[in-house]
Amino acid sequence: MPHWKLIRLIGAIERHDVSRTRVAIADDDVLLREGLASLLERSGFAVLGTAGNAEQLLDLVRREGPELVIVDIRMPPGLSTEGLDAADVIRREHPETAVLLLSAHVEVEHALQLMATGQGVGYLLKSRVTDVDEFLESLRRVARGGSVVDPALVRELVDARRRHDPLAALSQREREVLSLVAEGRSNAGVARRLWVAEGTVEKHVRSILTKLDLPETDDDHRRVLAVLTYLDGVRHGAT
Amino acid sequence: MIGGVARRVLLASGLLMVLVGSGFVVLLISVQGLRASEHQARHTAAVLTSAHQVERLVNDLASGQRDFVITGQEKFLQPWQAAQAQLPAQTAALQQLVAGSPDQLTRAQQVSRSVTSYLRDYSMPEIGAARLDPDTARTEAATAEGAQRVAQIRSVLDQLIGSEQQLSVTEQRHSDAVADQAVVAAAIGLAGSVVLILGFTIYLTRAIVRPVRVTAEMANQLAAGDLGVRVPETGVGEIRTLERTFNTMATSLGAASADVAASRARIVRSADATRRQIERDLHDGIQQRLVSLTLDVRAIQAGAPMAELDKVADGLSSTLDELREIARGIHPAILSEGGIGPALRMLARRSKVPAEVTVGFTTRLPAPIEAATYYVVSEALTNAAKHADASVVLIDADITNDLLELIVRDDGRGGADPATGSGLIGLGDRVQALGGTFVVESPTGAGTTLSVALPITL
Ligand SMILES: Nc1ncnc2c1ncn2[C@@H]1O[C@H](COP(=O)(O)OP(=O)(O)OP(=O)(O)O)[C@@H](O)[C@H]1O
Ligand SMILES: [Mg+2]
Repeated sequence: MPHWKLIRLIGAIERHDVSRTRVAIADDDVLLREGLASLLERSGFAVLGTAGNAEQLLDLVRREGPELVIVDIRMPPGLSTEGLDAADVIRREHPETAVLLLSAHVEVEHALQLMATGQGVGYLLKSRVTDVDEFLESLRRVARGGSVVDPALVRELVDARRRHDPLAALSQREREVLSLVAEGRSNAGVARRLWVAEGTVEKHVRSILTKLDLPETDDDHRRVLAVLTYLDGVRHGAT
Repeated sequence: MIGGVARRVLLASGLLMVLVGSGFVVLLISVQGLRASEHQARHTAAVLTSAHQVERLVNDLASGQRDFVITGQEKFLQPWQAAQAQLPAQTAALQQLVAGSPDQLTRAQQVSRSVTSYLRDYSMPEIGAARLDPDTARTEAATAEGAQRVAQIRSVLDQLIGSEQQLSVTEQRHSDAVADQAVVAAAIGLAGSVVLILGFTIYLTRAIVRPVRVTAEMANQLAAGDLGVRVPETGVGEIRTLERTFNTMATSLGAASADVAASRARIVRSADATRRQIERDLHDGIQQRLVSLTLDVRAIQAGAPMAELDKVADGLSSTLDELREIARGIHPAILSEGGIGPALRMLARRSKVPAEVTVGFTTRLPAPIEAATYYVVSEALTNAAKHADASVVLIDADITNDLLELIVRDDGRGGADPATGSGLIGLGDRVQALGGTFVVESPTGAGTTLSVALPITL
């Protein structure tokens, strides 16, 4: 018996609370799929099933009604953006189902397309799976209706050189805060990351939004979407 | 084909030869005529001299005899004696001179006979008589006979002289006429030759020089790369063969170059396909494997934490990051997934020089065109960062009339020269392999602009 199956078994015996988040996993690589399933089982999630392609995933979702779907963006048959398309369908059919997209590489357009489907979505590089604690934390945030955006993607947007760079008006600290906000963190989450008080973060955020001329909002997801759209927009002269 | 241009040239040359040759023949004839008339003139002069000589000698006879008869002194007879001695030879010479003309010969013979008879029948008996009896010799009758005989000789001589002069004048007239004809003939020949040479030259220019020049010009254009040039096949003979051969050559050159272009396009396409495949293998194969391996490590760690395993897992994570960068360098996945717009924006985001992208379409284009566009922009951004010292790069892509037009320009120092690197040359090759055009404009100090036009064909 492979070690991970053993671990999954132990995890299942250890955690028998009924509040476990019910998850569906879709990835065409069976080893990765099973590895992920075992990790989740071990970490307090209930894996309802796994799928090797978008069609199977949609069946699974319609049948089991998971709270969270983890889906690889590139799957058979086209090995293109099948996962993203499936996520679109799921979000339309079951808006309350949270979706975390995994991608082999970061792509702003894909992330924005997913973000536009509403709250409870996440976009991560596949390799983030290996940073287990961070990954599980992201899953929980998405499952709770929050948003998660891969730091690499945020870095690409924030670091992009601009002719007339509005971000130049931000202090170093404000840039850090902006990046964490763009990753989908709440003020409390940012405060935890930076080891500062939540009030300080609130002050930074307000200053950033004013400098960038962005509207204030209590909705974290809208805030992420606004910041990402803004960063993407000023990037190629659309604003 | 033999007998085309060559026959015409030969024919024209022959005609020219005949014309020039006959001109010279006419000239020769007239020169010959002039010489004959000169000869005649000399002959006439000789005849006249001889006739006058005879006349003088006859006068000497008459005056010598008269003086002797009057004076009776022997010394006055000396002129007579000298004339008598010379006359036979002199009349013989005259006869010989006019031997060619029967009439003149008759006259000369008559003169000769008259002189002989004058001497023998009149003069010598008279002198003999005068020696015996000077007074009888001085009779009226004897003197009158002498005068009559001399007058008769003179008259014949005058006839001979007149005739000879007449002959000379006739000959002169004839030779003048011949000379006039020669001048007219020479003029006509000259004019004809000029016209013929002119016509010949025009014909040569039209039939040979001009077609050859046109063909040479087309050959230049062909050499410059315009494979569509053809010469009109309007020449004669060998020239038409030349024109047809040129056109055949241009056609096969065009076909060969189309073959080469097609094979270049195939090579580029297959290289792109290979890169795409490698990128997929890296992402979907090796990356997945590494991720699941790392997951396994993490799982083992969850059961039995070990510091060494932590290191392994961290090493695997950073390997994954490197792998992602390598895969992106080999082929940008976003190009096949999202097309030109998203791919160019990704390039712009990662550019070291601020870059602004405007893509006027969202449609997907054939993969080779998307790839060419991507690589042009990628190289332009790299160059702008490496060489240009630019503050911005503007990227514009749009479709007009089935043509993708891409313009990438920076505001840097300019002076880009494809010959000194491999990047720009490679781009030109790639674009041309797809039947497109690639232009680099880079005046020193005024930025660099790459203009690409690619026909959108499937
Ligand atoms: N945007 C530019 N501004 C100014 N000079 C340029 C620019 N692009 C190219 N050049 C000049 O033209 C030369 C040729 O460029 P090219 O891209 O062909 O080669 P490269 O960049 O030197 O090498 P590589 O093969 O790595 O691309 C460069 O060496 C540089 O001097
Ligand atoms: Mg270069």
